[in-house]
Amino acid sequence: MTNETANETDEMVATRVQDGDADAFAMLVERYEDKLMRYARKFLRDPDDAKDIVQDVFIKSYENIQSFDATRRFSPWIYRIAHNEFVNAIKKRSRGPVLGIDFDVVFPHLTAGETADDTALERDTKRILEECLDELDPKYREPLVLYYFEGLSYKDMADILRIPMSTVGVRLARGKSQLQKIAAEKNLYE
Amino acid sequence: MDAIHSGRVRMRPRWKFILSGVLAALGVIILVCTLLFITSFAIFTLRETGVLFTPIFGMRGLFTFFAALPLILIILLVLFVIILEVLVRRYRVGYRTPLLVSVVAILIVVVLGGYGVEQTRVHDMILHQARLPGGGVPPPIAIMYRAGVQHVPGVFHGTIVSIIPGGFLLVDQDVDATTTVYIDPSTMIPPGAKFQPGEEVVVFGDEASGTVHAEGVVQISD
Repeated sequence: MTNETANETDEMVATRVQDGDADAFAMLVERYEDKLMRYARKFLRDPDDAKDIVQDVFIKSYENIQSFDATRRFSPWIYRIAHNEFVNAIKKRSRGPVLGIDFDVVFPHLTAGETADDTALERDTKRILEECLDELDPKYREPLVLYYFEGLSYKDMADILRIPMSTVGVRLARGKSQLQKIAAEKNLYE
Repeated sequence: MDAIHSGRVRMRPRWKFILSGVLAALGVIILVCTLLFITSFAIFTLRETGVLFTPIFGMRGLFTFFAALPLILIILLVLFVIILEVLVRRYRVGYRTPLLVSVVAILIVVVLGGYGVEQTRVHDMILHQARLPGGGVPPPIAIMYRAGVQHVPGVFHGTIVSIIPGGFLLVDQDVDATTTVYIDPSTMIPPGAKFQPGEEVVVFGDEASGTVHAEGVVQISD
């Protein structure tokens, strides 16, 4: 990779792919493979599944690259495709409605704006999250994974999950509350 | 990348996404127009039959109003609002808005827009044509309009043709029917109201042999 191509934004690379430069797609794969694998492992909790599904994500994103609007950011777009694939995978496994009727998106919520946790609190939350991911409801697990491990903003998460930003805040708050209960039961607090 | 180079995995052409977007936008426009038609037609039938004004006549009037609501139109309205909501969720402005807020916003636009369309009197023109033999209105539409403005028991919408002792004579010119209306001290009428020939009114009360003892009368102004 030359310095020039390394400095290209994801959106520029995606535009090149749209213009017919299939090899440019390899750059996007390189940039996002580790991130999506981490997201998959933490959300799906099955490492065997994760590799196959992430491959499907890249296939889907190449097939649908012409639907990407280069005036918007590429990251939420590919994460959205990943979210859809992961949810389908969970649905296949569970045989029932995964996320069910979503009353969180029906009503407006008054939540505090997005603020960063302080470093120590964030480190603690990530540690506890690692230990308790399996026990969390997928509806709350996913936003926690996206926020704490992928470092995404509320805005990006709203676009990925296709929910209002206030609902992102509500799910994070409820997820953290669930996490605290589980952590307390497991005596994970230092 | 092997799958891409070998051609096993191919890009879907841009025109497919553009077409999908255009069809979705067209769907939204058609649905909004349909909703405006349904709402304006419902308001029109309620106004034309006089039922729109009955809630002011107390609990019985309110009951008459709800009983006369065009249920099929309401069901269609709900169905199309749901479909429109599903379509709108495709767009950022749709999914970023809580569902309740977007449904209420759609309903406000549809009701206000429907009221605006109804005020243009386009439905009055269609009804007039539907009543003429060979009026040019397709039969299913003509049937829908004539059925929509059928007389509702207990509600009389017409024009005063003459004042008589204790009341007045009311004519519904559309169906050429005359009703004798009697008013007494218990009749609900606007304070200071003086009825005159030529006035358009809605009378609420039970009819017996072409005579109504009015429970309430309200003057209609355009």
